[in-house]
Amino acid sequence: MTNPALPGSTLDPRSRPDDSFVRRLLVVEDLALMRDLIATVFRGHGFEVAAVGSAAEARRVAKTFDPDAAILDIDLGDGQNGVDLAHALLRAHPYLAITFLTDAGDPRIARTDPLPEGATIAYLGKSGMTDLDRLIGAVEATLTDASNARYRDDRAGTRPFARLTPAQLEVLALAAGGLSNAGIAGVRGTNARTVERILQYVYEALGIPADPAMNQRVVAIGRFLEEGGQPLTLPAVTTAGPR
Amino acid sequence: MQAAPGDRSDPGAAPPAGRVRTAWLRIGDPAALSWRVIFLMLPAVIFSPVLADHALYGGPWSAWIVVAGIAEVVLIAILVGARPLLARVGTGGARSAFVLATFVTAGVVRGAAIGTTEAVLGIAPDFEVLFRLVIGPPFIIALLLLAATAVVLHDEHQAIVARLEAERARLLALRRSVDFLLERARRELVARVHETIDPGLRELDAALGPDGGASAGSVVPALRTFIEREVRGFSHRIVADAEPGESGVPIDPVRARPQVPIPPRLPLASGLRPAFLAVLYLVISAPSGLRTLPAPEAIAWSVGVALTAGGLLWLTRRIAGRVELPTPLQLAAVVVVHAIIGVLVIPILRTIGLAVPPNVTAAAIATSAFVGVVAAIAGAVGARRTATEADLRETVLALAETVADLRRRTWLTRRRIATVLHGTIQGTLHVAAIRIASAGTVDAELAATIRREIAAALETLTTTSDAVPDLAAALDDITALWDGTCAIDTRVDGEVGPALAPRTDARAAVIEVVREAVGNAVRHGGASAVTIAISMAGSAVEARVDDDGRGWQGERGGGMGSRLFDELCDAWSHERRDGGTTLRARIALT
Repeated sequence: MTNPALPGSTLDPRSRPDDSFVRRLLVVEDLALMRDLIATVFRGHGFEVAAVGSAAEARRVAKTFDPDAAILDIDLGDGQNGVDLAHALLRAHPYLAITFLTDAGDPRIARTDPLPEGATIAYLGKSGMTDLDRLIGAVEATLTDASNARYRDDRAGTRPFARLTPAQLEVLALAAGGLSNAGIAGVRGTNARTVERILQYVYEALGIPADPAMNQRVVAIGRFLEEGGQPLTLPAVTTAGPR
Repeated sequence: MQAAPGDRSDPGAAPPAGRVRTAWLRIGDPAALSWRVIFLMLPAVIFSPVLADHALYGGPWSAWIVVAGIAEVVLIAILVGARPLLARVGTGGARSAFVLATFVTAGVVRGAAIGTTEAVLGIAPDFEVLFRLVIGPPFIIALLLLAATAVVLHDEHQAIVARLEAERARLLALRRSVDFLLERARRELVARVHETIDPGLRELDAALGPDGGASAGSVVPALRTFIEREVRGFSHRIVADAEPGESGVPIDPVRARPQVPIPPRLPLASGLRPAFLAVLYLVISAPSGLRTLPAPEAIAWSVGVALTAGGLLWLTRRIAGRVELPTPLQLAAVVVVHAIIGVLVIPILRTIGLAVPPNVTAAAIATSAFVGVVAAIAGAVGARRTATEADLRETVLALAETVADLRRRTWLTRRRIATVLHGTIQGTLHVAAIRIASAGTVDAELAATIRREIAAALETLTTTSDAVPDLAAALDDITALWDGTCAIDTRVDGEVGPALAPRTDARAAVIEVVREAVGNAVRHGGASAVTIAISMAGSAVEARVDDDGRGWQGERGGGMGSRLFDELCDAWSHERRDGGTTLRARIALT
């Protein structure tokens, strides 16, 4: 069979849902082009789709639309985020199946709450997606009892910083916020030597060699920021008034 | 208060220091031993022998001029000689002690020199040991301290004036160029975006083929790599401000000639300070009394002069102190008031039966007039200093506000462009990759669609308007987002909406700050009820967010969002209180 929106789609016809009942999908994505693409494809697969561009709109629509599944972009722009939205939606719709669709490879480094837990959650990186089949597969998996392990990019061993523990990530985030080792130690209630040791593990895990011509700390922080990591900054202490 | 860059709201404040300690430290300034002090001392040091002693002892004028000359040379030698030593004497109080010791030495040695010269020339009855070494020196020392203080105060004032002019020039330069700086920053950012992504886009364009024809197998992996390697990281770096050369605002301080005029009108009171001037009268009248009267009567005379003059000054001040006159007239009036006091003092003291030194009437009037000149100048200089300090404070506050405004707008611009790059452009490329992958091969129509969409996405880099929702709509959105999780009560003063309506950037900042504060309270503080109150405070908007959560600035993890608050607010604080926390943010409508 062919997908009307995507000529030559390689979708396996067996994944095609039963047409006898319509499943409702809420798509929250701030880019209209992507939103329309997703909506069109899922409509072609028998979903009833409501597609919106902001978190607030999603909350309003969800009340009357009563979705079974949702695809949420994590970075919704303007300080809204898909993880907050997920937690809020789950309160009103506890059985909602959620697929996060995001650029952030690792939710731990974005400034979000932990993701909701359970078999009804999937997490897909936009960058790994060559077509929407995988997205459809993920939504299907969250709606059925199928294992969703394939659709948890946030747990993939290949994601950036996969090898860092939460403590190591936190130290890196604090360093990215401009703190010295002593400053980080103050925040974490340890001492500067421990902090330096943790940072050495971080450099090792990220494969940043000890090269006298390079500053490992700067390189590590650069990578952290490039991946969209949010520095954990301390309350600013300004000594001079205006700069 | 955990996060209170309070300095930002109060940048002009002087460091607290005791007045006495400040005055004492002033004496230790190198300027206390400068030629300017010597020059200020000239009239008193030369004229007291030439006029007062000549009147008392007679003898040829020339002899007294020689006496005065020698006394002056001695004074200069000691002050100038001590100057190089001062640099070697510690700091702070130690220097003040050294300068005081120098003044004492100068007073005593000068007295000895005058006495010796008088004896050698035979123009005074004897060496006058008591007067020259014990009574005279305190008079000279007091005058030296007064002169030194005046000189150092003048220097301090010049420094304040210079700072004022520099800050004012910065403020003017900044105000004139805010829009230019912002536009330049925006253009540079857009140029950098193009520089970074254009080569990749050209490659994509070439790969698509003139009329399509590319295969997904060749285009998609390259496109994915391009998004991953170039676009994604760059969009994050823009927000994190990790690009070199992007931090701070380039403002070159402009030096201008310090020019703060004396106020054009002054109240009479500024030249009539009873307490301070009474002390001055006491010091000045003491020598004449002690030289000619027995000690108890001499003391009664000095105290009498001080109290009478002080009393008359107080009375005048009470009656006419508030009268404001054009400054030259005011200065003249102050001198005249003092001269009249000089005329009145002797008859009043005689009337109440106090002993008065002989031949003192003319000297009393002249001295009073002299005190009047000192008082008038000191009053005018003081008024100018007060005006300058107020002006400086105001200027620095205005400068801080302008800088905050620029920071705020720069941050918003940067975020706007990052959003376009991260959302629109990157998303469009994702969509393109998905379309190409699904199609397998790119036909002419798909190639044209992709080209058109990418062009439209790039267009948004320069055309994205500052579309900011109005405050009420934004607050509705915030309330809707957390509906069911957290009850949000909003109270917006009626005047806030109209004030923010024309100020896009300030409105965007208020919305961002409130959204961040509410998000933090719910996400990290577990709040279930939040009150948002927005009101005007002068020309600034004050947003207050009270929550019932456990706070979002724990000992660990630092301040969530403090960077955003720093960039967007003129001042902000986040405090814990009973049963929750309170965020206060001030955003000026510059």
